Amino acid sequence: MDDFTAARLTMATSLGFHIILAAIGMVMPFLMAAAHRRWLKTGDPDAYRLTRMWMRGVAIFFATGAVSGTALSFELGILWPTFMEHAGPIFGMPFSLEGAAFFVEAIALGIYMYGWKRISPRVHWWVGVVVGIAGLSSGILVISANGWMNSPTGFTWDGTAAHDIDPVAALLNPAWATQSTHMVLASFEAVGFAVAGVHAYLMHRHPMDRIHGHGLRIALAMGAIAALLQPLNGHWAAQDVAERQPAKLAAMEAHFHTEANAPLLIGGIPDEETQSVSWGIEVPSALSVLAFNDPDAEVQGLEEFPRDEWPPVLIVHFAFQIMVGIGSWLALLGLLGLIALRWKPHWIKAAWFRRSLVLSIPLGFVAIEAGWVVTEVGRQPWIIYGIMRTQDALTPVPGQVWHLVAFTALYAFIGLSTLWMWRKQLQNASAVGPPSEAIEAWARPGRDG
Amino acid sequence: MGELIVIAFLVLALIAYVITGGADFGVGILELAERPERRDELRAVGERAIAPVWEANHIWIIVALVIVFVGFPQVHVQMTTVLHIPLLLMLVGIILRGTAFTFRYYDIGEGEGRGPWTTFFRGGSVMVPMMFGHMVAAMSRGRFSAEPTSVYDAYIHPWVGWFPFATGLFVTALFAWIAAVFLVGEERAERKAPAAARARRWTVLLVPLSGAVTLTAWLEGVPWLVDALRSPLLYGVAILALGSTLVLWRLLDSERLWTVRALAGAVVVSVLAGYWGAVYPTAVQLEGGASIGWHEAAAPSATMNALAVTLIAASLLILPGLAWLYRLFKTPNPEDRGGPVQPS
Repeated sequence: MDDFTAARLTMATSLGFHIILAAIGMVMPFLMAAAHRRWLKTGDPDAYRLTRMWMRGVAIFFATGAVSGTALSFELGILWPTFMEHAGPIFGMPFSLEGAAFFVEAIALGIYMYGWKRISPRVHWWVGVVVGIAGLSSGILVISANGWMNSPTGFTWDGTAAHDIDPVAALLNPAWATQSTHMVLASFEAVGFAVAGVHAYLMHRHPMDRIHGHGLRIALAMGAIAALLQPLNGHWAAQDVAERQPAKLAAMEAHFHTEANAPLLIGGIPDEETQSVSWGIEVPSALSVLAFNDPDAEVQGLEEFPRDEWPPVLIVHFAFQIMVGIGSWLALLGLLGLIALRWKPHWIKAAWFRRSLVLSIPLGFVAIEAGWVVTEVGRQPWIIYGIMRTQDALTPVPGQVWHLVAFTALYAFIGLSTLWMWRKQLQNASAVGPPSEAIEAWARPGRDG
Repeated sequence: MGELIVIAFLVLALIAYVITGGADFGVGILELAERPERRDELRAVGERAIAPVWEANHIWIIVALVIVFVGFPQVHVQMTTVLHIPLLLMLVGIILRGTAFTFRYYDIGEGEGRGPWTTFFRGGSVMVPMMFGHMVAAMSRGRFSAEPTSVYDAYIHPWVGWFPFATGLFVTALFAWIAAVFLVGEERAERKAPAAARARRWTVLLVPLSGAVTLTAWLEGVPWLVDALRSPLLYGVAILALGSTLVLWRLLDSERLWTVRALAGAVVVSVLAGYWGAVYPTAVQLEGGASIGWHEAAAPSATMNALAVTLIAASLLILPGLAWLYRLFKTPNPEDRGGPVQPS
């Protein structure tokens, strides 16, 4: 394997590993705070137990995510030094702000986890909310940096170096809003359904423990709302891509030839050599409508771009199909979920609903990975869109395949260990005790107030 | 102006990392150095001491990294390419140690499954300061070759040698020493005397190691050493470090917990200030006398000013938060005596 391929795979592995932990880290604190609030309001000991259980999840995933995130911040320069040399001073602002948000998150999490009985119960709850807000902010900021790679702004480029740097313009690049809202919704969707699925399973295993019914309802509501908003947001994001990165949109849709009334392709196996697609279903004019709100709009095909500026069509198209397919399924399940929560409570315990939720545990994360493949592979061959090729940013250090092997093994080991540990945690879920008298005495003023 | 503020924050972040992150790594090193039958007890004390704060402590290295890659891109490129291997080894250490600590701490079911985590935690705790020391020494020793003729020349020769090795050992011992001093205040009353004795043993070890760093630097002909030995700054910080150490030595048995910790901090600040003062304004010393300076490598002023403003604004948010966190958990609490603070 050549160094370039190895470096790209190392980057993909590191990002792919971190993104799951990051999504969990952004959303779990809000679930925790929701359960916590319920306990403060009602005094329901099961809500307390749920809070404690989710807090453990936040702690473990935050710690692992913090570590993989630290690794990632080094990997950028280790693998792509030329990229960082030029990009660092331009898109540094989201990174420095992200560092601050991450710091706040770590401090707030420390105070929250160990602050029981030590600080006022109301302040304590708010500190838990701050954990979530800080996590969300750091996610949004990092995505702003990625948005800049897709829509580089805030500088002029003379072919070898950047001038007239404007860090704020780089921070507020045209892609940051669509990308970050899409990722935030995706995180709520994936984590909401995953947690709901886990509790659906546990509710079946431990029917007497009310904690899982509570957990399922809170997580399902969160995931369902995100899943229903996501298609609208995705539409907005796609229109943005159509305008800024037409080659990426063409690859997503395996759209080789420029045409008006462009059809939307569902499924299909694209062939870059013959510039054709076999086995796909075409929905007439739908791509023109989706991209430009106009059935007669002309959608640029890949043929408009030099051959060496095409992203790998097959990968991007497949990833996009997977993402949209899962998104559609979760939106449907979300709709059913909201109906169940509001009008059909008996569905929650029905076998078909439980099975659907349990099957959906990994799906949101698969969709997140697929979505990042669309964004990142779809940007190729560029590392900074239209400015710098990924190939030109590669480190000169040889032997990158060893780096790949070592880090893949490391992440696989940590990933499997995390799963193994979670299995043990969940087996013991019902052992989480109700609040002690001391905790009750401490929280009571907060509840009356 | 922006440039100087950014450099000040870089130094501050490095000092904070060495003191707080160093104490965390030190806990792992102490575990490794402890007699086997005492390790479990030390582990409980160490976990109790660092669990609420260790994540915040480790963010300082990210702050330092971000400052370097945003503010001093050429320095960052040199670090990530020439020091590729020690940087990766350090990363492996950071990843293994952080996850191992969490897994070990949260794993349920006493005893089982903790073996490998404990090994990784301790191993990572040594690997990171060793590599950190190698990198710090490598940047100043003048073996970065401008026109390397082989892979060895380009990526190994710059950081392999007696001076980097001695520096790695010194940093490792320094981290362990910080932890040993900090832990005296975390131990139960009847364990305080042995803990103070342990801190003294590490103090003694630092003396020959700092000698070894100076000697190897001399033998390698490290370019800044001669000037540094003539500068009053070096003697100033040496006296400060030595004086603080002597006072600290006497106070280790006392109840003056925060005086002892502040003195340990003063020692670290003087060591780092001495080194920084000796090499500044050079960031990377190249082979053959040329060098890359912090000011030459600085990003354009628009970037530096934005970074300075961000850092100041962020510190207004973070420093009070950190103070709150430390006040909550590093103030002795009579309720907690005798057992680890579980996230209860």
